[in-house]
Amino acid sequence: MKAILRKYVVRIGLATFVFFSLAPIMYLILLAFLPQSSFISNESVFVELRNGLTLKNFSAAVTHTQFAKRAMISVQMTVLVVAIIAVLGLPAAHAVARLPKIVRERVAFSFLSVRMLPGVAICLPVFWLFNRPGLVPGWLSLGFLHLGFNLPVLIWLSVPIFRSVPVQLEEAALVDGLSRWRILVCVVLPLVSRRLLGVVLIIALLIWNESLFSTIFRVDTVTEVIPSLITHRGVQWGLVMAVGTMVVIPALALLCGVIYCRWGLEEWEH
Amino acid sequence: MKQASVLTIMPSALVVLAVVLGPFLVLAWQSTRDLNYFEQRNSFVGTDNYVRLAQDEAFLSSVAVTVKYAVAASIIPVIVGLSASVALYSAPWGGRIAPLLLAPFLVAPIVVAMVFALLLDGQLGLAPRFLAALGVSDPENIVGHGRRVFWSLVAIDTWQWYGVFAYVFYARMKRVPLLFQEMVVVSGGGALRKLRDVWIPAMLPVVAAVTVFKVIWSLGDAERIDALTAGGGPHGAMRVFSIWMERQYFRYADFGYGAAAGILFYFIALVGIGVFILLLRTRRELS
Amino acid sequence: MSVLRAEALTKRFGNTTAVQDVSCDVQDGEMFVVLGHSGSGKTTTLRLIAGLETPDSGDVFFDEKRATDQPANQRDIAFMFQSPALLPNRTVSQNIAYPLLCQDRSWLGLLLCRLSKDHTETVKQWASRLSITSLLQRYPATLSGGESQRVALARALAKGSRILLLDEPLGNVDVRLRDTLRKEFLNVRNLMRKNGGGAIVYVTHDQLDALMLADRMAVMKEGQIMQIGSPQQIYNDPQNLFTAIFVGIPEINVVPGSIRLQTNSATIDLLSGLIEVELQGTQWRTVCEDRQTVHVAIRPDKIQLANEGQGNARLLARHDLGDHHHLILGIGDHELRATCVQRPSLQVGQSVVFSVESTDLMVFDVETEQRIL
Repeated sequence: MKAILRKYVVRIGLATFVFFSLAPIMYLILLAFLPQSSFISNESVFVELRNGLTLKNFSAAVTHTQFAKRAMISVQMTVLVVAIIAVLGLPAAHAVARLPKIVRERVAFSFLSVRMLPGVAICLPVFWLFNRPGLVPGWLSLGFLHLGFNLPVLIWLSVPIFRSVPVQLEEAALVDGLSRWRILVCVVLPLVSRRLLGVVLIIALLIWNESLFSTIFRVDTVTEVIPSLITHRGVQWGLVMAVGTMVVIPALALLCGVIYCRWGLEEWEH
Repeated sequence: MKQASVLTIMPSALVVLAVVLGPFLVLAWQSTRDLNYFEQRNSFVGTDNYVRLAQDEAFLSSVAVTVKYAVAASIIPVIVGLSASVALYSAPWGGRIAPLLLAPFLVAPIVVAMVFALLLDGQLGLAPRFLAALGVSDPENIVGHGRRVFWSLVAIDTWQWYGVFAYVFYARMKRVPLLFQEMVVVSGGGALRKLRDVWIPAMLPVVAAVTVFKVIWSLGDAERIDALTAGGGPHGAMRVFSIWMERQYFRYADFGYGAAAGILFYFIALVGIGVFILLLRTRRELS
Repeated sequence: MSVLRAEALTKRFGNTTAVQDVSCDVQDGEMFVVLGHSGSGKTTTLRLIAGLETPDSGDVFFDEKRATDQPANQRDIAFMFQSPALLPNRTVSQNIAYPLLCQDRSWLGLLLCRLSKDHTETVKQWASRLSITSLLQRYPATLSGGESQRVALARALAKGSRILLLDEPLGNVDVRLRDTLRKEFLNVRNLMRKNGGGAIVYVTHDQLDALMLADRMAVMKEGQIMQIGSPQQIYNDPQNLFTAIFVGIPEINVVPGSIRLQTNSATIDLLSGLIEVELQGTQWRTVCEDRQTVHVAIRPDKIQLANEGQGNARLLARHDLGDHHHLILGIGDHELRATCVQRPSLQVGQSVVFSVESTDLMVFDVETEQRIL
């Protein structure tokens, strides 16, 4: 009897959690299809639904905000920075993974503690020193800052993955005469590539989603446009939701890919 | 071997140092000067800025708010995440649902801010309507009122992060060997015994590590707050440190002062986290 | 008096039936060994008795009281797992005392884990009986496999339950230590008999454990009990082919045979007529048919080397084991295992003559594999 009750409580609980997690996202996507007029009216969303959906917000988003161009910029920025982070960070994480315990924890923590710095505190001096005087293009500073802030995250997340590879494998390869670089690339990476891919995708996501720095450095990313849609006259909600949906879609596609292929999620089952 | 390790870590360490610590050093330099862009001042004043900071109420309150927010926005998502992970563990198909809870994390903070701003907005939002239906008075601009802003922001942060925590906790729970649970059972122990002797020792390190991580993250995280409160909220109630510093720089162009604040903030945070970790270490040895 | 009884226990996991209609009866003061290969269902049976699994059908009785629905932590059992499962952040003595701690149901007891004087005494007693007193203040991570196993055993014993359930307790232990520990188990059983009775159920895949320790034993195969009896009975009088093959070192010889019935006598032709044995007694009349093919099993020690006998073979191999030999005899296409006391004159390659008594033959039906004669 108790068991049956428990079963239903768990089911309801999980359903609530899933609803809680997904509902706002559904809301976002739904609103993107509502005409601007429905935001001004006092009726609830569900009544407005019956008035019909529209794609106008999306077309407006694409034209008014030059979304295509922004998407290109965001993608380029993301890919470039992620590539550099991976090339620098993965070998570093691998090296940190094999350090003796206390040293390793201190090093890993030092990397992570960089994240404590309010991003603003770092980018403001950079902005005033390099960008305002026009010495350095905005995207370069932005790229560097992304690099600096997300590299530690990659390292912190990758170290446990590298540690899950038995050290005996690397020692055996060492005895066989392989250089450290080849050990990393030929022995270790193939074993953990899926999970590392998951971590790399998380970093890519963080960069794609970031908006504050973009605003400061006036780089035209997809996210940077959103605050500018908040005007004195009111917010163009439809447009905001449409842009928001388009920003979110790659991320959601990523999630589907992750669920389907279980990329990177096994790491956490270490 | 050791030299090789150092060599591989060097490039990353250097990059991080350059990108992050470089400006940090600039800040340190600026903090000892009376630097004001608009008024074209630039002179060495030593520790004057710091002294001024220690007495500046706005600064102190912004630090306090930041810390409060970081702590609240860590503890609450961790608790909610733990509950979710318990639910996931209790269902045999939990593993298939767990990734769904990660969805909120994928949404860009600025977008999250916009969605919830709408949800909570006095005229257009669903939440006030919902609350009004429940009989809560004065439901309009939730994001407009002091205390409510704080908790709304914590709630939003919880929404984004709890799924990530739930997933991490769930994965850890699955790795606790059934053997130990059964051992407690055949020794005559009940559910509480299992909790005390198997689950808590297993989960405590993960929970602690995750909490520390989130506190560190939240201390530096300002995007969402900025977007939702358009610069600090009513009467600067949510003027977390990042926003305060931004104002110093952009509005007042008082670089020296802002810089000193940045340095001070970092060290306060570092000390705080360090103390917390030390506490955890000693506790673990004692249990 | 039956201290523990299992009746028609059945347990399925998905599509596999782990335990099928298993029944057994353990008497007071008895060491009952369940012997079987991995996957034979012996561990599952033990877990059903302990309450760690619930049977799909069947019942478990403790002292003739139905206990099938009783949760495992309320049963008067002590269980020792295959791997020690010692709590890593507690000392050995705290681990041994663990079941005693669990008896304290109060909130304060839960938080503080206090050990009463009696408890500490019990721990010390069992530690000295198992020779682990020197380990009491150490932590599990520093113990060897055998030491951890003994600590786990001490923990199970310290609980003081009537029924002691052991799941392959000598699994991780090296050979020399196994003998010492086997003696310990017998001591424990004797102690149990002195102090109010109880029983031990011991699950293993090692027939030595069974033969040396059991008062009675059960042989299991694929979830079913093949035979229950004393070790002597199982060895001398196996009721099916599987039991005959499983128990016995070296392994029993199984050869095809065929029965020839005449008016008043019967002979078995072994190995297509290479050996002929005349059957004694009268049993064969009721059980056999003419020209029936059967399996015939002969224990290696029953193949007697002599000057005259039914079998002519060549000595293929000779393994010297101190005071006796294991021999491999080749006859026709077949190889027979034999043992004999030390006879240094035997040369590999020479021809030997051996005889078998008809009373030493065990005849099994080809299809059912049940014992006929």
